[in-house]
Amino acid sequence: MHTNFKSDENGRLRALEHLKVLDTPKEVPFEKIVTLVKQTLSVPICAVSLIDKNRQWFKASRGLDANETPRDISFCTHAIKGTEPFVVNDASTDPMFMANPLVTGGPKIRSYAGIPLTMSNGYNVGSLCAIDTVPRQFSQAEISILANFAKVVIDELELRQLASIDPLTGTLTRRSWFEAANKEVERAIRHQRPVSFLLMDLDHFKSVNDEYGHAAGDRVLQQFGTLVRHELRKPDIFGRYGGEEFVAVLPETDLSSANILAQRICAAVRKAKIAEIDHKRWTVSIGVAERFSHETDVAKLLKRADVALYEAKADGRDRVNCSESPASHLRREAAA
Amino acid sequence: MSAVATAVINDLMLSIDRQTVPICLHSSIEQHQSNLHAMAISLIGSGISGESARQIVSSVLDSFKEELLRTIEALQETGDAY
Repeated sequence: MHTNFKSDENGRLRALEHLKVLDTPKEVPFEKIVTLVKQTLSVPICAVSLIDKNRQWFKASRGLDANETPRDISFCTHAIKGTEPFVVNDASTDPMFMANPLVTGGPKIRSYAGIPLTMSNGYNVGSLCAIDTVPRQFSQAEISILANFAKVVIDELELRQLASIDPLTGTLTRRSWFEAANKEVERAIRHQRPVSFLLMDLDHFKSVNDEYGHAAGDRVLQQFGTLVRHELRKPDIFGRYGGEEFVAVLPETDLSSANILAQRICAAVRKAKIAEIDHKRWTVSIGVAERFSHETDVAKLLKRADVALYEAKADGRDRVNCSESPASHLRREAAA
Repeated sequence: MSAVATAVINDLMLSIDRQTVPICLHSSIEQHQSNLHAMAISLIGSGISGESARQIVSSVLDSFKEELLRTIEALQETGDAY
């Protein structure tokens, strides 16, 4: 029994969204688990089912043709209502399920055992279920085995989450940021919408580490992460690019708005005092770039932001420098 | 039963060199070890042989180790994995 179980649906959906697992390709660990459960419990059907707002989506399954079903007919939506195993011995005689299309039609579910996937934040994101097409009483030993496989599913899901978040600053890791940035650029191309990039580098960071030690340097990085998050909007994608370099993608944002935001970040850093560095002044330089209509490559966009950042550093640091605007670029191309 | 499960898990977990794993992932490994131990106990308790239980747990652990390596790489790319 999880003591921190949370049942609010909005929080649960946010927790599921945070995992970034919905509609992802098949992955070996989950495939392996459903295979092992199917073999160990001798059931024809097993699935890792994640309960989205209006559907259950299978991260992995055996014995099912569909990748998803409507949520309102799923058994697993009942399994996530609590923290205990949810068991149905004979669905054809159970008033709650006897008219369910998954019982009256394919896959003709008769018995079901589902273990809620309760993440360490207390939310049930789905369930690991074992299903039979004949009435069956799952033994306590079988439920225990299924519950232990469910814990392993949670381990795998949470490990993926750790890979996406930089433990020091709480921002996205470089790899995870690139994945999200690529998706955002694809969206901007598809809808012909503006998108801008910020590349931010803490000034003279090496001297902070040299003078005050790495713990103080870590505190500066953490504080910077907090300050930037405070300035960004919810859809903005913020990550740690490496060391003291950070990146942000700003959807629906042109160069001029991105510049205003970057100036705000510079000002916020200037004002922030950190005890670990004796309240000394610390600053950041920022390069800004907006996507040109023909640009599809995140790395190239970042390269333009990097050139702008380099110039900001060369001009004396603690400042924002913008790359060429798309309009100016078009004029120059037309004149050439 | 618990002693067999402990022996199985301890033996399998030797394959993870914790000194090469970032500290932020140590609790994940401990959690997984504990879960695998519980899994081994439940498998053996249900009548599955020690060797079969070992194969099942080993298979699950292999997947976890692969994901662990990917996680370590992702953290190293960013900076302060250690």
